[in-house]
Amino acid sequence: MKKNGLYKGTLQNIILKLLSKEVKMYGYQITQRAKELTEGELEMTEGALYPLLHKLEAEGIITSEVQEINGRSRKYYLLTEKGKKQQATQEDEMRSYLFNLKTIFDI
Amino acid sequence: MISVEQKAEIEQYLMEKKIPLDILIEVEDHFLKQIENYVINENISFNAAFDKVKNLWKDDLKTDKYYNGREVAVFVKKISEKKINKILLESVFFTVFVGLAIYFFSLIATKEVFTEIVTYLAFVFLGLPGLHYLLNIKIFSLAKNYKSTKLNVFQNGNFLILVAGLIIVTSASSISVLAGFIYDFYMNSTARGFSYFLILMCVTWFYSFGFLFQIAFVKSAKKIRTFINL
Repeated sequence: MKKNGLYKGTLQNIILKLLSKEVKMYGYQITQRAKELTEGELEMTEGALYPLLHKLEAEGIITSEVQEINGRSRKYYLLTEKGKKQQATQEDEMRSYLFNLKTIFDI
Repeated sequence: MISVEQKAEIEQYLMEKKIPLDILIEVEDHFLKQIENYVINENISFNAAFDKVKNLWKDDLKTDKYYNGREVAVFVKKISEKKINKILLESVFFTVFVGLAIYFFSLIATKEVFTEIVTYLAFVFLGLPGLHYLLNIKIFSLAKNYKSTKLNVFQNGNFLILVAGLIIVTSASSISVLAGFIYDFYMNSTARGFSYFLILMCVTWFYSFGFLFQIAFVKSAKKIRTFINL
């Protein structure tokens, strides 16, 4: 994260949410999609992204497949069934957290 | 569009950073996309874009000493540690499971039956890495083709299979004796039995750790084997 350390603890939620909206995504695509959605505010560092993707894969939350695209090898990540359930749970928790945060900051 | 020579230059740069091939595939793709975007959006040359990307990755591609003394890129070390910690935890759980399983078995079996069954199970358990190796011998041969780099972060653990083989050869004749002592420990809490029980737990942990490492190596290598043409 380059611009805002507050995003740091939510990186996993962000990745899982992005993956839930696409069939599969590759590393660079994830960074660009997050940047695009936040209008450049969220810039994921590669050093944070890849260790997290590998950790999620080791935990069986996401899986990967390598494909040949225009003569290049590309590694795609996609949610597993376990990952889909976890993403839904985490999204509910995050929405509740954001709601409470908003309530507090709105006083 | 990046030329074949430019792609090879990127590949060479990343290989010098000691990145295993399974991670190199995605890092190289990331580099290519980042460079292409700079070339198109900022209208700069390949070399200027490559330098910018190298600078972005500078901290993550710095090399650091790994637990075995080898040098690896910082972010590869982070990835490895997470994966290895998970295997470490699984092997500890498995060891505890084995300890409990043979304890409960000792409660219902006579010493003779216990010794016989535990000996058979020990041989099966000790032979599994060898069988797995033989079933995946092509993958292990593939690893030998890459002298300067590793197929994945688990490759360093392949020496465990050698250690496993040595343990089988040296301990084969004493497994049944060991099983008898462990039975005595469970039944009568003998000091000698306790020391053999500890040996059993240590060997089980070491073995399961090595075997899980080996399985992870093969699983990861299978995923990339058709895409490596370096």
